[in-house]
Amino acid sequence: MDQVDHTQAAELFSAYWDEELAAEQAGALEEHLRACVVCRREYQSFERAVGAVGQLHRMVAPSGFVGGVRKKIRKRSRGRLFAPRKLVERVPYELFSLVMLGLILAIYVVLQLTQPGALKLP
Amino acid sequence: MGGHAAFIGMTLRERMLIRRLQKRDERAFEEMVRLYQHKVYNLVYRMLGSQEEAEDVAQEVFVTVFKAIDSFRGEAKFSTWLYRIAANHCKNRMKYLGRRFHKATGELNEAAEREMQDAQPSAMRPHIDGPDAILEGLELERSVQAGIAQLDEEHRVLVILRDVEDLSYEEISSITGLELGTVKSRLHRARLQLKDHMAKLLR
Repeated sequence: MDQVDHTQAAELFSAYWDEELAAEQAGALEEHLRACVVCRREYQSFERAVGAVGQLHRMVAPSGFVGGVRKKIRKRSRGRLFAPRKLVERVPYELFSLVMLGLILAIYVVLQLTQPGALKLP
Repeated sequence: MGGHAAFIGMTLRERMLIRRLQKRDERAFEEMVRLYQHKVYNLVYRMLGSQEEAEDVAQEVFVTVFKAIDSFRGEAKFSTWLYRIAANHCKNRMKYLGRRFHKATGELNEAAEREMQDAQPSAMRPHIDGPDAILEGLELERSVQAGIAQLDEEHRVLVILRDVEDLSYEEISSITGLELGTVKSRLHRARLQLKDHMAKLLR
């Protein structure tokens, strides 16, 4: 590549910034930028703008984000989207209900046996 | 491929995670969200410029990921697939907001300022020291976000993927579905527009 004019120079800014130009092309652009004050200012302006985008601070998801997503999924799928969790990973309500039923039954039997006139066990 | 996922360029951990996600494992889902939440949130925030919209849309992205995980075949990186979903959600939200005449530039600036003042860990902006530097940083951040907000959605997504997320042209091409040459030429146009906007704002 011999020389670049103003229009060609502007067309090469992005590739130059991304270091995608061949050495010869980059050299020709650099030469033009050294010689042309207008294009040099344009490139400096380009460099400042694109560089500033890269300097934006990283945004962080707010706390409770994960819970918010889980809630949305549960609400929309009515709990069907997630596979049932294993017994050890959650509150075992089935076991609790069985224990409670057993307890109620035991209390009932004890009360029946301790009532006056209740049948005596052999 | 015989129906099997290719899982190109993915670590063993990612592959295991995806398999667990496909089995609808809730713990895997939480792990995935924790792993990618900040990436997705940052992309969405920069696209939409509003904290409120960003939180809602970023959450929708993960809902979609979880719903559509069976369609992920591993032909691209998981993060590429995730970014594609995020970019599509952003475009849809921008269209929706546009229809509702939601011109957010002023709000964007306020939100950007608020968020800069909020509890960002100092490690995330190590170059900002004294009050003057903070003001200068705020001013620049506001100008850049406003400049980005001036770009149309097709250009905005390219600037964010390339200059904010630092992705390769190939990845951007895969995310947007555009030819490599189109990505390069559109990105160039977008950067020139951004330069002009910022030159006006910083004048």
